[in-house]
Amino acid sequence: MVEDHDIGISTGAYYELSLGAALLRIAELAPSAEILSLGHHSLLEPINVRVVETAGLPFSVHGPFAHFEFGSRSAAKHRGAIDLHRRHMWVAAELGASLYVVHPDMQRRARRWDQRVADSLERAFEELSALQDEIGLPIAVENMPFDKHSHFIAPGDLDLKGLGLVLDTGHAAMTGTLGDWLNDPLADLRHVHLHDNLGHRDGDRHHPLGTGVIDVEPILEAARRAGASIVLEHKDEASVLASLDHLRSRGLLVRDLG
Amino acid sequence: MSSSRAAAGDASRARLPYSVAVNPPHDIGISSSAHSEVLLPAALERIAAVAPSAEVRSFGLHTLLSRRNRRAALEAGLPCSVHGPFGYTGLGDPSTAARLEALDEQRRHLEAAAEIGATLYLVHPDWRPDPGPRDAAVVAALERSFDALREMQVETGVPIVVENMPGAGCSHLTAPGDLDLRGLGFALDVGHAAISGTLDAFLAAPLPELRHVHLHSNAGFGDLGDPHLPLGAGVVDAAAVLAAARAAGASIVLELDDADDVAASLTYLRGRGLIA
Repeated sequence: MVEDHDIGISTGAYYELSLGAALLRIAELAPSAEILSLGHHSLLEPINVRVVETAGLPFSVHGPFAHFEFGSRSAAKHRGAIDLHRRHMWVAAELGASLYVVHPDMQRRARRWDQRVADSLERAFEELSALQDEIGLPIAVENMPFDKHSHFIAPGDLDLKGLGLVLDTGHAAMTGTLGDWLNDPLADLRHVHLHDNLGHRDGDRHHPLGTGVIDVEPILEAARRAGASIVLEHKDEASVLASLDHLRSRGLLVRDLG
Repeated sequence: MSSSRAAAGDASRARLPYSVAVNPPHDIGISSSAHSEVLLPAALERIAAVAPSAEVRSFGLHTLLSRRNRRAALEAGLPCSVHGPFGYTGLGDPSTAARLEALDEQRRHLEAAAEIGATLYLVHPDWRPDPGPRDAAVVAALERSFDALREMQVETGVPIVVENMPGAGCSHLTAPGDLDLRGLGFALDVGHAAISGTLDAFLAAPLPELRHVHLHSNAGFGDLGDPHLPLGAGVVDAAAVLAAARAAGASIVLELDDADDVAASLTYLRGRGLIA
């Protein structure tokens, strides 16, 4: 039987499995899933639609990345990225997803701050905000790792134009912005990705909680206070199990109904 | 132009229908804390309309770890001091790991402050909500941190100042002589000093390290809520504070929580002839 807690698990930890098998594994450990809708877990695959319909597990959807399209100043590339999200969002909404996660831009090489890219991203957020209202599925934008590789690293970087915030705690630890995110009075915190690393000189490891610099307790407090959903986002099941053990040992796993 | 012609010109301009009252410059900066609900570019624009300088609170929405915020600060063209992030123990944590983590955080914000040409960078020492006895381990940790900050001050060229905290026993820096600042400057927060009952002592013999002043008011000793009231609304004697700050050559910043309180404080200072 699944413990009574409020922390979901990303299908990213089960990427080698089919989506059906991944959801079965997650259902044994958690009350909800986050479907990483790309590759063979894509919700544009008809078999995956049937799997989700029958799984009966509450879920959020992480959209495809579109990093380079959003990092471009080309209007055509932005339109392409939004059309991609529109297709995934329609399916996610039809299947009853609770939330849709999007990434902003991300570049392979460090770049200077480009106001035109920032403006393009904010225009894209306006369009996604309209799509959110049209489809009836909340959208939240995730902060990125690697300073100078994205225009959405810290609070104040971009106006989300009515979209929510996904606080990715590992990414925030890498950029030294975790405290800033937790102190942002304007942040409309809707969703949290939990994973760990060794801080701002480390890579985006998605390591188990308790093995790096992140103190998960204040993050869970902030998320629960804001009514935000929480998801473990790891690259393998061993990390998922280690994180659940860490949370359990600190008494943080069971839902705080107070 | 003769003085009589100049006076006639002023009188003529005063009658122009589009002429509005413009206050001449003064020497009081405004903290971005008064505009914490708006993005930093808008906050700095609002500050520039009423003051010659700003203090950027580098945390939350106004963090200078944001490249956009750094760019906005540079483009605003407004002289800026920077208030570093703060928690409870931080620089005074007896745990070396926790203290080094706090220093590392300050270093990142200080480097960002240097990038925008900050006039100074302000840090908090320790603080705790409940008063307690003086702890030699915390004092030693703070002074080690100050030594490290002094090295960063030399590396970045940005002067660093340490602020007194509110509440006797709630910090190891609430009164003159509490700590050796190890070559760093001192920021006198007059509201905090009023709460700690030490404002008169700070003003009677200003510390030689005094570089910066935070202006706000409250109900005085024991007002532990630290309400950051507008000037004139509490016990803080702004005239005495400004005299001490100006005599020391310290920069002065209104540190309030909303724009209405800033406007009320500036009106109060003007009404008392303390600013032009």
